[in-house]
Amino acid sequence: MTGEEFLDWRYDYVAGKNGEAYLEQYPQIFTDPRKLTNVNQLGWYNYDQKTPVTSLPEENELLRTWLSRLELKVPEIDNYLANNVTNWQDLVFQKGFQQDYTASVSNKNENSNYYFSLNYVDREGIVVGNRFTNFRTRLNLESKVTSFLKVGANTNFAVRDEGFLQADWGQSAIISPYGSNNLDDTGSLYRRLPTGDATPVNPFHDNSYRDRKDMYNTLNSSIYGIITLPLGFEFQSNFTPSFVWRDYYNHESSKNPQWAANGGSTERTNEKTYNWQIDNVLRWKKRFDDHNFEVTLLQNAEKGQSWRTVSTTSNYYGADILSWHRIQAGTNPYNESDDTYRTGDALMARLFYSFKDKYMLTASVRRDGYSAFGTQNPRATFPAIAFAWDFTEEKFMKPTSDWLDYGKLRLSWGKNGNRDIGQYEALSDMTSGLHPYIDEQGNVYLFPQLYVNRMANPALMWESKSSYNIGLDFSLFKRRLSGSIDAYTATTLDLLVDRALPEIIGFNSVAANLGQLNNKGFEVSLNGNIIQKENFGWNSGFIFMINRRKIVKLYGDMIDVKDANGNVIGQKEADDIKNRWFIGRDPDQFWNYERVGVWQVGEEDEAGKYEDSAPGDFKYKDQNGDGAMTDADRVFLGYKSPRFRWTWRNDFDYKRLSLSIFIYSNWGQEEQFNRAANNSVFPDRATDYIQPRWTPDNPINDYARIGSKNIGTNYVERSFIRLDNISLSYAIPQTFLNKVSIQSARVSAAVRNVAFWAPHWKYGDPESGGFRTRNPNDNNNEYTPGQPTPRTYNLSLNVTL
Amino acid sequence: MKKSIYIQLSLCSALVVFLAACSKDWLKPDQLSKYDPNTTLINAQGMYFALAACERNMRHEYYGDNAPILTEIMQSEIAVEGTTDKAGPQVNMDAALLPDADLNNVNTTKVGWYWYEGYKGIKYANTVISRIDTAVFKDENEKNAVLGAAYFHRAYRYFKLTHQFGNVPFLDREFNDPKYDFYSYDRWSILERMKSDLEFAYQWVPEKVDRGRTSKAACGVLLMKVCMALTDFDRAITIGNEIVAKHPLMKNRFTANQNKPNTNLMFDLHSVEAKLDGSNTEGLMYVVAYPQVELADNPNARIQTMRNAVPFWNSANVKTPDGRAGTSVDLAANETDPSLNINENYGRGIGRLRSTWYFTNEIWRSDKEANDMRGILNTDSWRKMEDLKYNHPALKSSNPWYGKNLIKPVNMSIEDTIRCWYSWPHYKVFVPDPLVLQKAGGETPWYIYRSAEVFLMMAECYYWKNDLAQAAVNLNEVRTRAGASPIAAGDVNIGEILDERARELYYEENRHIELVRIAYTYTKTKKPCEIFGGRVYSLENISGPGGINSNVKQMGVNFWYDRVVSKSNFYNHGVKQKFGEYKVSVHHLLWPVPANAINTNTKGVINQNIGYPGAEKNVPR
Repeated sequence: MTGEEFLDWRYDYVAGKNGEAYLEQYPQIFTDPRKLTNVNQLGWYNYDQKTPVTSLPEENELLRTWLSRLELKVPEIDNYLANNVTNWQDLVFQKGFQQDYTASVSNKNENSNYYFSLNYVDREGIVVGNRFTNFRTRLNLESKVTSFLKVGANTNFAVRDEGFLQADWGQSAIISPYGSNNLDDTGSLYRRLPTGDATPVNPFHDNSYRDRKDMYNTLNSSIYGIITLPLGFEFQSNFTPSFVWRDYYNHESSKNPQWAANGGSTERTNEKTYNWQIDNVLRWKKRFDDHNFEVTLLQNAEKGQSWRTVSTTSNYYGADILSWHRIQAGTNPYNESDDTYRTGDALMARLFYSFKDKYMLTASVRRDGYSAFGTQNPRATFPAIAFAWDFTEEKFMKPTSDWLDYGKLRLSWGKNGNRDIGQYEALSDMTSGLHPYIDEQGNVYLFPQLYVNRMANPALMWESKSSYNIGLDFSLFKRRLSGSIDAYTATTLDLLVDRALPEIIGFNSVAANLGQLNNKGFEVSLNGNIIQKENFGWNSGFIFMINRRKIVKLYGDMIDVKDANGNVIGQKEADDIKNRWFIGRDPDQFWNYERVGVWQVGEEDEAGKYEDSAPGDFKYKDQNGDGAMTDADRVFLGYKSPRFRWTWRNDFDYKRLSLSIFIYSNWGQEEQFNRAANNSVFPDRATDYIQPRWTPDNPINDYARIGSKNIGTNYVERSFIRLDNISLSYAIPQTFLNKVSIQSARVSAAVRNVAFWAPHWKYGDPESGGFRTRNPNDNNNEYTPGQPTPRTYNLSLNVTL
Repeated sequence: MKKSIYIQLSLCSALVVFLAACSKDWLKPDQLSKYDPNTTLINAQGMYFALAACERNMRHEYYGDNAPILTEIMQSEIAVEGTTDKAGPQVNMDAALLPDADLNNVNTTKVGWYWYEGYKGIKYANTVISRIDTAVFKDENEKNAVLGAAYFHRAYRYFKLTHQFGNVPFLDREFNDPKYDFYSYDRWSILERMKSDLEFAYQWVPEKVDRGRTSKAACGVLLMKVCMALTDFDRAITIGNEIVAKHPLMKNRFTANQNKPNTNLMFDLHSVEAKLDGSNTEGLMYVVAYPQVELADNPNARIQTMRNAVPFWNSANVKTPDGRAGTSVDLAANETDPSLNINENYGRGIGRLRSTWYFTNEIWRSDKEANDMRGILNTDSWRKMEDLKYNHPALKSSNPWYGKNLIKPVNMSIEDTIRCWYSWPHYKVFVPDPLVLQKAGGETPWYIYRSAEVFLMMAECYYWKNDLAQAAVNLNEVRTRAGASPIAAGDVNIGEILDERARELYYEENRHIELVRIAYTYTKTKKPCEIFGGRVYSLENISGPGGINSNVKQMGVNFWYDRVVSKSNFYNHGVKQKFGEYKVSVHHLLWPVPANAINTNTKGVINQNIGYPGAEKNVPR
């Protein structure tokens, strides 16, 4: 907000808050004293003088009085008078500079080959201070030991540094433009709190007292041996270990006045993760005339382990100048550890058979095991079968061969498993902590407390999804147009969910397998070589996707259906209202109060019935007209997930230049936009993004008054079309390169996130990640958008020697 | 050379797989850093760990920003929600107390906290009770002491639930499988069961325990309350006398602070030091927190009494008489006068717990409480806004009001007087807060039960028995200790007893529960209520006629409503602020059962209280 916008905004707030009667008693009390009409300045000034003055003070004095009435704080008033305006958004956002360097070398001879690369990345984000660096090296080696044995290893090692401190950019939206930006003035009272109030904090202040190291070292490797056996057999064995070490060290200095009382505090966290997998694969490939066989047998085992230690301390009595290098100097040592363990295994067999390369059959079966289901149902079996027919090879298709190059019909059925749950979800665990008591001498000591935190479900099992797919691949007109069409239906059984429990049992939910979810969808992908000239080419690809889901069954709890007189007329399965899962509905559909505008002046009495709403507050429809908003007034609204999506890629080549443009769109999804209620900040102490607001003189229907009461949830459509990427590259002429003995070189420039069009969504990027906070008592999981998606400009040079 | 290494490696890996996959236990889960109840809760030690969870859960009621205890105080005649800068806080109960509303939130109400955490506490206690026979104990005494303490914790929750929510589901064992068919139980039968459990606890739980653990005396106090709810006043009096004989009131100054200027015995009694002091005989049950003891960062271990109860003096609208910002947390750099440090001396309040005129003035009579150390007439114990001084750094060099006492701004709006301008009992809410800049009230132990309350409960028992002389004797024990003059038997009535509870037990008692208990007792005893013209209350329709949105505001339906609207100068007196008008209705005697509890209980029916939406689906029980 600019200074003027801020003062207008604050005026609307204080005038709205104090109400008509107050404004009648003190006419124009909140108006700029230089712009009074029908009120004299002296009388106006005396509104808040205990002893009325008789002569008019100087203008600055009048302005101070005015701004105090608008609840501006002392430094804000000083800055107004001195005309010091700070654009906080400009201070926290930057143009981030990103660098990426790669050098690689590879070589190959008859018995061995290798590849070696070095890569360094330094990425700045769009928020000041947001940055990470990554150094990565990779070595791939393969050696032929004998004619039948090949061994190799692919190994990469990386060092990532994330110990950079990002400015608290969220604050920039709530500090008023008159807040004091004087971090460097050590004598100022407003270094940390730009208005002197506890709410807005200088986005850079606390970071200047933090010292952080956050290093990730990762080592991933794949070591393998391949034995070629007679009669078309081949045996391969892989061992894939992966290590991650993380060192997070953070110190908050006692020199920060805010933390001084705590005497400095430190955290040192060391974490190690070690996962490995072993795969043994036996393959057999054989061709007998028209019959082609491929058989694959797989055996797999995996283990994942992690070890984490957190050491913290505080209160160094000021002796914290060594930061996190000497935590034994702190007087409040505390340790924590958390280790985890999981295992899994799999057996798989697959047969591929084709006849005349025209009819193809793939059949497979796999049996998976996972320790999270280890108590009773660790393993599950998933079969699949697929059939494909290349019908253009058939004789009767001869007549069409002048336009149809290729056509293949696919049919498949398969079952998939899902094990996406926490590794200990099925087990009951006890949370432990320490609780203080006082002994007879008056000493406070700690004693362990334990309580059962999770309800066990030993019967928990794999989720399985069986799907039918029918597809057609084709290529027409000498490969000018190709593509595929797919349609599928899938039935997911035993979905892994947190089933809500009546909370009085002491657990909110239990990990459970939920009944049945149906899923159907359709996808078309088209690819066209629209123009193919010697010097100019245009290739275009378009994909369209649509998907629908529906809950068919939940837990099988039947309840009575009653008519208006309370007589039982049948039975139906109970919905899970707490989780907002309803039989016959998409779990992504919102079920809530329906917003029908904003209460307007004159509707006071009607509005007041609904939790004391007032003009300027969002108006929600009382569906059954009983004068109270309850579950009976919730209705099915829009969907969280897009109703359809499409992407469109275009590549143009002109001589040595190539241009690529990528556009995509998600359509029909909705998201919460409660910020439209203009109540997300304390308006008496802060400010907000500039956005429309309701006032009696601006009776709009999609935004509420400042500091409104919002008794429901406002949803806004988030459909968008995004021009995601434009890139242009130029291959440097060979004639030139030959002179400097370079094999090839290419210069390219790209812009990502170029633009988007979102007709309804006005609150920043329609795709900015964001997060939901889960309130255990209310399922309206409040949505908070993430930080804006950056637009990146990329220039790169690729040289091969 | 190299070649042979690779060969060995690949053979090795094949071998490892073979062994691993063949092992029967390969997929057995292993929680390395978590305890398993079946191997932990097997002896006295494990059981005491589980009891510690009950005692920690007990602590949460009093600690933190908008601690649940505030909801209990606001649903009474003592105080109201003073927050005026946002929608949501419980100002108009017709709007705030609805089954579908967010009932457990810092910004709304903690009604749902009592439901949700109450059943959590019951679960922790039931974990012990259900496993008592499979665990190994040294002897029967040890076993019964553990079982008694668990009974205490279960009864402590049910006593609250039956007074806040009336008829509620009764769970008397640990549940290890999902269950969806709960029903509400008659509150009187739950109380009867609690009475017998507590008699067992009172017999077996040891007298001497470390502070913070469950004591025999604590079991006794709760047993007294249950006996009173069931109108067994004689048993309550017997237990009360046993308790006070062993735990006399503190009548003389104590702790290291006893010679501090401008303090008195009441400061001593409610200080952090008193709660650690072995000579303190008055405390019967405590919850414990202490600075820098729980080293994991735990914001909920701070009591935050000052943040909650002290007025919002730091508001921009607390201005000097010439219209300048008057107060500040930060002082001018060279300021040395300690009396200007309002933040340090009183804490930075936000005026959430706004006292009523009843609590700040009416109960402190110029004759009988003239020398009462607990009251506003004692200028050491209480603070008025006018005791604070203008301290804004910007005033220091230029403004004549700097360092002068506050004067109420002439055009302060009603909203701002609600939040920024009232008096408060400094001796009780002041708690040092050494580790943060903005003082809110730090870690401290807190009383759950004190002997003073036992005397007041005995006084009330004698009132019900129409023995006003004995009632006066017990009231006067508490009154004279605090410096108030004794009252005569002829002056004793239920109003006097409730006034005395307010004087003594602010920020300690569950005020709403006590009013509801008395409301039920009037219906049970049919005793005419002398403070309402001899009115007799009936148990039938105690919540009024019901009906969605009926929001009945009529005297004579229940004692809780009559008392609250006749003493509070806010509720139903037309006091408005931006986000609502202060209102209560007769059915708010009992709170709404959170809709989620009813909705998830798909195969049974948990009844909603009369007057709230959903009560039409109730089944008789």
